[in-house]
Amino acid sequence: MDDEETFMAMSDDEEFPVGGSDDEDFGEDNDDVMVDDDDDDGDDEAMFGVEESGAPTLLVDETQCTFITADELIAQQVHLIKEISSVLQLPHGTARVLLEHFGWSKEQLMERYWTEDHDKLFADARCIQPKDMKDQCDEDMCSICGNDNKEELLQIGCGHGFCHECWVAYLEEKILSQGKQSIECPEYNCNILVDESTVTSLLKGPAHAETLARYYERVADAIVDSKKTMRWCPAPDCKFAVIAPHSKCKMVKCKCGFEFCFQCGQENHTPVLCLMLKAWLKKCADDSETSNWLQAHTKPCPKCASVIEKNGGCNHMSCRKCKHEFCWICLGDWEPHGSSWFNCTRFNDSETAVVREKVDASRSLLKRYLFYFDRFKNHQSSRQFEEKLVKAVDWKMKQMQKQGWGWVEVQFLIQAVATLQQARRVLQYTYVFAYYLKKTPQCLIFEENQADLQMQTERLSEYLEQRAAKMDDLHNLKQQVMNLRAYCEHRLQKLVEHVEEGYKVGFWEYDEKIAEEMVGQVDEFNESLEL
Amino acid sequence: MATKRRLKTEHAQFKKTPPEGVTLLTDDPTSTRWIVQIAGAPNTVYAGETFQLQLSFSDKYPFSPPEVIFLDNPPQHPHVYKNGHICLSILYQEWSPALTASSVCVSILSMLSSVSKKEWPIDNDSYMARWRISRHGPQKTLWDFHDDTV
Repeated sequence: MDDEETFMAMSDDEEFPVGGSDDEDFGEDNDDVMVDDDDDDGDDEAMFGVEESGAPTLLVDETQCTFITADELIAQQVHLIKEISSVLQLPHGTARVLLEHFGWSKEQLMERYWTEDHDKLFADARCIQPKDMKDQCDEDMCSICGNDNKEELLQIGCGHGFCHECWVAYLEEKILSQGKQSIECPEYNCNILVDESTVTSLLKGPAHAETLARYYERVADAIVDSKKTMRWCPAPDCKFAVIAPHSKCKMVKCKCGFEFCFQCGQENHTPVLCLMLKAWLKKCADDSETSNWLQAHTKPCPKCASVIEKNGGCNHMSCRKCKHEFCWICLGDWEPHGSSWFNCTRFNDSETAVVREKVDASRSLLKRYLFYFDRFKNHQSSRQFEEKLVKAVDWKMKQMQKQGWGWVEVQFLIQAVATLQQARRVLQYTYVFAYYLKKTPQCLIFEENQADLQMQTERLSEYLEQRAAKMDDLHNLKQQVMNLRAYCEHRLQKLVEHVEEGYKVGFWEYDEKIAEEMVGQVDEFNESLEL
Repeated sequence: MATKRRLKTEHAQFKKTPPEGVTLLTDDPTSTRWIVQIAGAPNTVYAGETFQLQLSFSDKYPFSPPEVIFLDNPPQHPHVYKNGHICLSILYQEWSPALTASSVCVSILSMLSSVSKKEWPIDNDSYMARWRISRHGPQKTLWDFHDDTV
């Protein structure tokens, strides 16, 4: 009876562990995790890899990623700096700036260091060659505040001296207000970078501890951003960055248990592709103030899809992330605009008319949208409710162990919950897929698969929720749960395989609004298989 | 206070040796809002015209840039919006604390001098429409700059 009460107390508790973090402890098998990891286009060469594995290529391989925290990242970086500094006989600060310039790649730095002209190399990296470093200030006065106490002036090799107070105020402004880690000399038109050790020594003491911590956060962010195979886990409070085996990696599972798409940073969204999901989420948020604002004021960078905000200024945009230059008005490359920057000739009334037409059309499609949205949301909220099952099932497993069952023998329950959560998640995203799909015979097959999976999922859910806790015939329970789980997994596999095949063979036809973009993304997705 | 000290020094310097075509109209050396008159340079499309700039200094000055806008009738220029906001990199991202109010005014004057045709920015209307709602100062705008020659 005590146990029964514990169970009740637990069910009432709202602080349930997030699904996924628990099941990791139970060593669930790889089949439990769906991923768009790889897919293929029609060419036979690439098909080979798929057929060989047998299972859908949309699976997360949990062994493929490694994980790192910000502190470890910084420690690693210190190690690298020391190495470079001793090999190239450079001061630490210089070694650091050079390394950062070459994206923290030792190999690249070494190669370029020995083959390139040093004047150019150092100038490009925005640092001063040791031989050119000035050992005193050009002027006897701080050019920020006019302080003429020579003793207090400090320069970083370029000769531009500023007093300690002004340096600190400058760094605080850059780090706290502007969130920068790459900080230039305060002098106008001097692009020499302030190295990490200078920042650390200037921001000594408890008064600046917060600023310095912020600085190191930025430093870690910059390292992760510079690596195409690294990405912060988007789960709240997760401190890990995921290191993927290659940059085209799709779905990954973080050490914290959270599964997410390595490309777009959203949670695992199998079977849809990022672009569809992005379009969908944008649509979903349409009614909110934020999304209205986003639509009005931001556009995705045409190259890297980073969201770019502009609320004024000139139309020549350069993406801060990938440095791509484009025209805000037509989103085309900047290049052809040449010197006629003030007038984008590629923008005309007929195009704006088309945009307006599209808007009107989407209104009339509202009803259709709501049908899919409703189901999407429904599965999403079911997923939230079913997180409670983890606790309930945990209780049941303990019960069973008390009755003489082995730990291994009771794992079927938590595995069934994991399958249920996964099936729900996939179902949820199938509505996004369906929304953008044109009605073709293949689409009907997909809808049947979807209905089958839905039915199996509901059966599994119902059984686990309503019956599992009460069932006394444990052998029968195990049999039932394992069967239901197997059906569910089977349906899930079928559905994902079918979607995947469609990407490969190209039998999906998409809604006009998204079709053109989808072609590109499907190609890209298929290419990633070859890696 | 570093800001006050620096503004006082700058004010004295500005009054004593104003750059050509630039006059500081504010007499109070303790003011954090200066009005500066600039005269269109001869042989440019703005020759003979004068404009007024307002420079507002926050207590973070000179570590953050002054807010600089044209008052009343701003010059018709592809980098100046009708509300007086100016698209000039040194007023925002490219600001350096080693720059001064006087050097900013010189830059603005040379920006005016470098065009051969009076035009409003291409996105003036949309910028103004948004500004009428938000009433944000120019520093709230995320500017993108492209042309170092203007």
